[in-house]
Amino acid sequence: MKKRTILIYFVLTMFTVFALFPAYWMFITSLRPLSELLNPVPWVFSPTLKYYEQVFTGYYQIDLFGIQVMNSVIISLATAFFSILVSSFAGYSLARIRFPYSSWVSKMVFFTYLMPPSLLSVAFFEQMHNYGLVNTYASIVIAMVVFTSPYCIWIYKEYVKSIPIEIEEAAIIDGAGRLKTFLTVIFPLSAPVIVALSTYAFLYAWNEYLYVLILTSDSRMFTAPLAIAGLLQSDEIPWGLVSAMSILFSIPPVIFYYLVQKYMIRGLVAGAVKA
Amino acid sequence: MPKQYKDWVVGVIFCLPFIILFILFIVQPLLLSLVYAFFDKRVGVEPVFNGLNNFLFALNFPGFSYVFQNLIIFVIFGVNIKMVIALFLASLLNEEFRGRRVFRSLLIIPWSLPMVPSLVIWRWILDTDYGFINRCFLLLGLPQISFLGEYQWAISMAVLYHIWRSLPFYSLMLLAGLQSIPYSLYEAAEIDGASWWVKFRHVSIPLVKPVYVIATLLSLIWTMGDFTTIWILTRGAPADTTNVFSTFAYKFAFQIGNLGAAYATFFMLLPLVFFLIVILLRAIRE
Repeated sequence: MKKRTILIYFVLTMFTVFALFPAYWMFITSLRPLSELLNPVPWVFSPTLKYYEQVFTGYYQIDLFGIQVMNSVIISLATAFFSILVSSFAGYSLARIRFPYSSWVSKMVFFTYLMPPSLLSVAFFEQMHNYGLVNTYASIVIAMVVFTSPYCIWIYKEYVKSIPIEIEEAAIIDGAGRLKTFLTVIFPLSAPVIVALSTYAFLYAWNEYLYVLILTSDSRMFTAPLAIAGLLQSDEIPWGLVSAMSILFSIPPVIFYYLVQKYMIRGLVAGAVKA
Repeated sequence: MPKQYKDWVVGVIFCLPFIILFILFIVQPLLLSLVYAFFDKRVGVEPVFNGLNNFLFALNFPGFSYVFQNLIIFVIFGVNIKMVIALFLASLLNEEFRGRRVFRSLLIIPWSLPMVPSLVIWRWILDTDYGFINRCFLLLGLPQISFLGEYQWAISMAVLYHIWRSLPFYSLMLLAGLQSIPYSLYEAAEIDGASWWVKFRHVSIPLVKPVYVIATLLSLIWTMGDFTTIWILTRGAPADTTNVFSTFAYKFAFQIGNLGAAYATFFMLLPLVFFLIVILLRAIRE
């Protein structure tokens, strides 16, 4: 028994090293002066905060980074807001109201969840081009809401189902309509799941690369991932700077996943298995 | 108005925003892609029917044939190896031992990192001149390897990145599946004197199989649509050999300006994706 436990520790440690090394290396790179990056003897390490300083003071290669981070924030907030707006109503409806073809709506939700976004990207770009929405927040937010709402609808629906129906019946007996019942009874009760889902939607938009790439051509409309990836196009890639930007950019998602890991996976498996 | 009637109208209205988004931004782009695959299509220009020319253009484009090969490589090596390792990892994490939670929270980090930063760091680690691995090789007196400059290496590294990144997600999914197996089944097997392997083979595997199948299908579908991995890691280099369908379509649409060829590229993949989605929906219902 003892031997087996040691073996488990050993194997899991190997996996953990493999899983964590890139993040560790990103962190180390962001602290190493240029001379060490170009001649990295592992035991020589004199940390510097120079790259972080460059990120915050707007180094010449990334003079628009401040604007681009703001774009990321605006787009992510808008995605979270509209995604919740769309999916809480739909999720409530699917959980509680019987209406014809509601199973078709469920199918649409699943189909959208499963559809790889990249396969629609060119046509989506063309549509947005025809609407004159290229290089606007609106086009990116629409795309993000389309791709985040299925998961949100599904999880929200499951959540509403877990709320005892008697609570609602009391409100309905008091003469409240569906809208009022939803807004005053169910929505406040579902605050925890709303927080989790809006964070999910926020981060989906925060991490998005492809749709921002195709829908923007003006560097003032770029988001942070595009700014980071864009530096790879320079002749001398400033690895230290790229790493510092990557570290700062990755902090919100990593913290979030750490906090909700159990919840997310459970919801996903429940969603996938129960369907 | 009778109450029953009103209620279903409200139900539909609540779903309407999603339905509208679905029709406008899922159905419409899909139909556009399928139809315009047969048209000469450029941005802002009226489409002209041109039969199978887009397909011929794509198929004759230098390096295009690699997308089929790369898809197969991703499916066979990426998805399957990942799922087997994920099942192994999940069954380790399902054991009782101290520090299980710590391992679980650490192992999820690759999945929680946004793709762009993690791909950028992979590129840096794999850099030919100054990357960590080649530096180690240098210290050990081994020859440097151009990881992203040779086809075999570049595609292997893309597959390795794919496994590295999505392993946590699928491991935790399978772990949830394993945890739903009643403990009494294992106890019964233990009374019969079953070894670890016998329990794994005859209790865990059959009961986790539905989740395993669903997870594999999910992974297949999403892997087929993965754009960012290849685009950031190799951008198709060397010489357009490491491209996948979506990166080639991007190249056709936005670098060459031939939207029709991009649609034709998607057209070759979409039936397979639909087929897998249908199978997945069936698997879920059972």
